[in-house]
Amino acid sequence: MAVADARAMRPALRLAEADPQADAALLDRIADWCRRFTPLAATDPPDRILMDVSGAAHLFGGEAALLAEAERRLAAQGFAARGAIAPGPALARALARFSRLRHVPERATQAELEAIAARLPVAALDLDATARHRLDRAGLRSLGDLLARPRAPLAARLGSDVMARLDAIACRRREPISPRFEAPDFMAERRFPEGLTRQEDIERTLEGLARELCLLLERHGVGARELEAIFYRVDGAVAHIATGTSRPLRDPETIALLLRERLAVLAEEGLDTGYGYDVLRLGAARVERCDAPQEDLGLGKIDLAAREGEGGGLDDLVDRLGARLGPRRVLRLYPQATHIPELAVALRPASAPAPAMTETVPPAFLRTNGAPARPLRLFERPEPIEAVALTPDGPPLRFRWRRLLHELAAYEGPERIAPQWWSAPADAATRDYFYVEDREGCRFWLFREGLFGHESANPRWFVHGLF
Amino acid sequence: MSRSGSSERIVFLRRRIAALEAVGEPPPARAGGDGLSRLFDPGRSGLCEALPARPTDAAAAAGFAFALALRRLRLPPQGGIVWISEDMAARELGLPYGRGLQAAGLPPERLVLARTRRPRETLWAMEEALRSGAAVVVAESWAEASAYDLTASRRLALAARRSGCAGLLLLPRAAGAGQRLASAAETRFEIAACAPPPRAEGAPRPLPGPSAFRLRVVKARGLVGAFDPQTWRDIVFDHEEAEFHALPRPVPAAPRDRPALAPAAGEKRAPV
Repeated sequence: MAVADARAMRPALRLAEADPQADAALLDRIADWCRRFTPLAATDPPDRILMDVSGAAHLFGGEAALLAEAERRLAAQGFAARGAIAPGPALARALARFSRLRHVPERATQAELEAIAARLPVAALDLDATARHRLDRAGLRSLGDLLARPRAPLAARLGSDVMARLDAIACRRREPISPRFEAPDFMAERRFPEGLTRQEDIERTLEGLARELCLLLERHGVGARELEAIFYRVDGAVAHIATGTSRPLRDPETIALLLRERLAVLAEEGLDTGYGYDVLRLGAARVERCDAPQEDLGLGKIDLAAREGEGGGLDDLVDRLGARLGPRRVLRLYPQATHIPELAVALRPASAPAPAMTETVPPAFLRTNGAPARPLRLFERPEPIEAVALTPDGPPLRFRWRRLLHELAAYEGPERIAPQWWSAPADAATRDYFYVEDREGCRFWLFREGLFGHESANPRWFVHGLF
Repeated sequence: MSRSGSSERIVFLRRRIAALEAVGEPPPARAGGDGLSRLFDPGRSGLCEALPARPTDAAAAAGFAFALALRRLRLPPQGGIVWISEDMAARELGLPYGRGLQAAGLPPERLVLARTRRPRETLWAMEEALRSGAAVVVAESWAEASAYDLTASRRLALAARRSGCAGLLLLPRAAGAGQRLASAAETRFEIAACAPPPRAEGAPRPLPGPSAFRLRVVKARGLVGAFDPQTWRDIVFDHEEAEFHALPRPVPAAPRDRPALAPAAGEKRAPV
């Protein structure tokens, strides 16, 4: 109806502009919060959330208690929510909206379920207006009427997807929901009646969770590669910490250390504990097979770090640095098979698996007197300089870089590096590289971009690296 | 001239001709006659600082740090090198380039590069790396001379000494503050770029020579009194052997008849 009519009916009406994106985002956040009950929570836009609570209800004292707690907490956060629990998702969805019955026990038989479904109105099928009108005129007002009819003519009338929905509501066919996040295979969680506010308490809880998780992992003979810790705050906010490792881990102290580093980073930026976290969950999102090291009989567990030697030490360091700095800031160098200088070496995160070596390049690029011809340091982007060259093909006599004037004392070059004619665009320029030493002794790797006359009338000069 | 005098002269001339025709060059004088060999000893662990003399010498200081690291990596046990580069230093000096490292003799798979944002993170990362047991840790930090103090350096020095690996800290922003810095490092060098020999007007420009540094040992713990902190030495780094040599490097001239002229500036002559 129009706003004017609504206002006429109720003058004190409050209006707000519809923002479907914000609504969808809010629904996502509520679904994240609902994961405190079960990891499998899915959104059903525009305003429904489906949770798969099979096997999780006993933690809350039964299904009815779970439903009551969920509704109570959502009401405390300011949302008006109606929920229902049923053996099938479609039935639960329909019950929540159209019925007063809220809880269908798990052990209900098929006949009981069909009886419950029969009482629901036809609107539970989400039909469009014409179909609903047609069914109304034919006198079919509840699902029980539809269920009593023979299937074939009904299918011909309504279509197969409506029949599928009908079967889903009557629990003849159970479809799984598609949750927002995959449930981790291995998980440990702790719930507290009051929220945790202090950092030491959170860290100690994480250590305990790490010990539980490692016991689980050990039983299955796997180690964790990706860990995720989720903190649920009392008032509904959810915080995530994720960290990856370069080898499968099963040691509680190392896991706790990595998580503490991550937590320290968050704490620096201001981890707002508010009234505290009351559910902490630690899960291993990705696991890999990891065999237990041979233990020495009678002497207890041997210090793993001492035995693993070099490879283990550097891998652990990579993990620790990655946990604090971020995985993209701990890099390894991988030579690539290309002659373009800035692409010749790729920097990839050290925790990612090493790609297959595409080439083994013998140390080349030596100058006439045996010194390296490639700079030790390369700028990420070549920096432009103002240069004056005597001859079109020669090096610059003097150049200005970062506001300092450098005069040429000695040079070697040019070394011509042409773009890849097979893949480069038509206006890619050839580069002539010079190894240049100035009067003070500083050495630069300069290049001129563009052949004078052929490719551009005004070739530009850049500094690419320092020796 | 008496007969004995002339026979002496003949003996002397014969010896001189034999020296001129010597096969194989004499071993070059190591940059170590006065204790530098102990400083550059690759097995020496502990914290070492390298400061540039002027802001423009930062690249030379980085090259010197790399040269020290290369010497250490040649020793067994074959460890890895951890290079910690702060964002500001990477913007000023660039990131380590794999092809250049390969050409200088370091296989790129032994290098782990960590990029940090702030000086505090750099110091933390360096401490972690020193404790982990890598062979060499090179860190470039844009910390000011005032921000890097005794407590931070003491932690790093302790960590380096305990694990027996070499830590090299490069402070490009503290250029010229070598005397003023107070830290617990074992050695501190001040590095400048070595200017090439002057060229006569009109002569064609020569090829650049091998990588050379001008070096001043500002602090050397355990070798007190062996170094004058004010003297500058010129040294050359040989990439193939990973050795430092004093400049000028003595090279025997080929035997030929030459008149007794004073040697031109920069020309290298065999010691006679």
